[in-house]
Amino acid sequence: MHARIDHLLNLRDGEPVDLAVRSHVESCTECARTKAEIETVRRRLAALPAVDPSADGWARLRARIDAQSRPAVPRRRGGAVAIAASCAMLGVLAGMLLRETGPGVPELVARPAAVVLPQTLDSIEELRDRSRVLEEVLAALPARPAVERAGTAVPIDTLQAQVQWVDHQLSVSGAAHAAPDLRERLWRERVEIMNTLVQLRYVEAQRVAL
Amino acid sequence: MPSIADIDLAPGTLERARAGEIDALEAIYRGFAPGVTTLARRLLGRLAAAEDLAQDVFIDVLTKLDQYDGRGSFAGWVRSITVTRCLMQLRSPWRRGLRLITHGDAESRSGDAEPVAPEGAQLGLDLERALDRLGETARLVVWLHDVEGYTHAEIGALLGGTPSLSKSQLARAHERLRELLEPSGVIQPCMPVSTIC
Repeated sequence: MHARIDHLLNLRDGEPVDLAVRSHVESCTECARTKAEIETVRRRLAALPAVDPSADGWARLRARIDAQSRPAVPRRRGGAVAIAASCAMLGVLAGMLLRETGPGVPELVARPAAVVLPQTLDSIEELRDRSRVLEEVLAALPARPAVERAGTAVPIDTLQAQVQWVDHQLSVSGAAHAAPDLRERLWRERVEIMNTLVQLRYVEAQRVAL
Repeated sequence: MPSIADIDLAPGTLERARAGEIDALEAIYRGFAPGVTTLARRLLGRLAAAEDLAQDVFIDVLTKLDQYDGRGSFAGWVRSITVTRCLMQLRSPWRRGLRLITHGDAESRSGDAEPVAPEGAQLGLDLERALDRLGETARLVVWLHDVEGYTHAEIGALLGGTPSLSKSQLARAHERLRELLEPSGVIQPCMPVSTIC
C-alpha cells in the first residue's frame, strides 16, 4: 500500500511519521515522486506573482481616513444601541421559533442553562468568564444540521459574524493599551451576542431533533 | 512573492505614522499594500473583493496604530488583521448568499465545495487557477500553511477547530491541486494496491 497524502505532507513538513511509512516512501519511486510533487507545489505557490493593489488605492484610502478624522455629528452610542437592538430582535425571534415547536413537545436536546445576562456582571473578568461559559454551552450543543432553515440559519450567521467582529476588535485593541471601558463594552457586547446565539442554536438543534 | 511577515518598514516610519505624518502613513500603505492585496486575493479567490478588503484592512491598520503594542512584528500584526478580516468575509451571510447566486446548488452547506466546471475543463490548469478552484477552507489552509507558514495549531484555532482539521484540509487541498494540475486527470498514485508497489 502506498503512503497517503497526509503522510507525505507530514514527511515534507518534518512532522512525525510512522517508521514503516518513512521506510516505504524512501524505497518507493511512486511515493517519492508524489512527495516531490507536493514539495514543488509549495514552492510554486510561494512563487506566484504578487497581486498589485488598485492604482487609486492610496487616494481612496486617504479620502476615507480624512472623512473619518473630520469632526462628525456626535453619535449617540449608535454601535452599542444597534447591537443591543439586533440582539433583542433575534432574541424575540428565538422565542417565536421556540414556541413554534409547540407546547408539549418533548425536549430532545438538553436545554442550555439560563443564560440571562445579570446586571451584576460588571468587571471584565466576570464578563470573560460568562463568555467562556457560553462558549462551552454552545460547544455542547449538537452540530449544525446539513440542511438549514433560513429562519434560523441567517440570524445564526449574523450573530456569528458579530461575534467575530467583536473578537477582531478585541484583538486589535490589544490588552495593554486599550481603555478599560472600551474593552468592558466589547466584552459585554460579546456576552449579549453569545447569549442570543446560544438560544438560537438551541432552537435549531431542537428542530433537528424533532 | 514574500509573505507579509517578511516585509520591513524603514526605521522610524511607525513612530512618524503614529504622529500623523501623511508620508509615513503612505509608506506603510505602499509597503504592505501588495502583500495585503495578494493575501486577500489568495484567500478570497476574487480580485475585486480582495481590493475592497485591503482598503478595510488599511483603515484598521492606519487608524489604530496606537493599538499595536510592539509584541511580535508589525508585519505580523498587519497580517493577522488581514487574515481575520478575510475569515469574517468568508463566513459572512452576504458572501454565502453571493455564492448561492453564483454557483447555485454546487456549493455545500459550508460553502466548501468548489464550483462545478464543464466536463474536462478542470484538468491541466495552471496553479493560480487551480488554487481558485479549491473550496474556501482548503484554499485558506493551503495558503496559510504552505506560503504564510502558519502552524496547523494556529490554523485550527482560526477555524474554530483542531490542528487535525487543518491537516485534513491541507491533505484535501493537495489531492485536489494534483488532480487539477495533472493534464491527464487520471492520477491515483497513492491509492492502495494489492501487489507490491
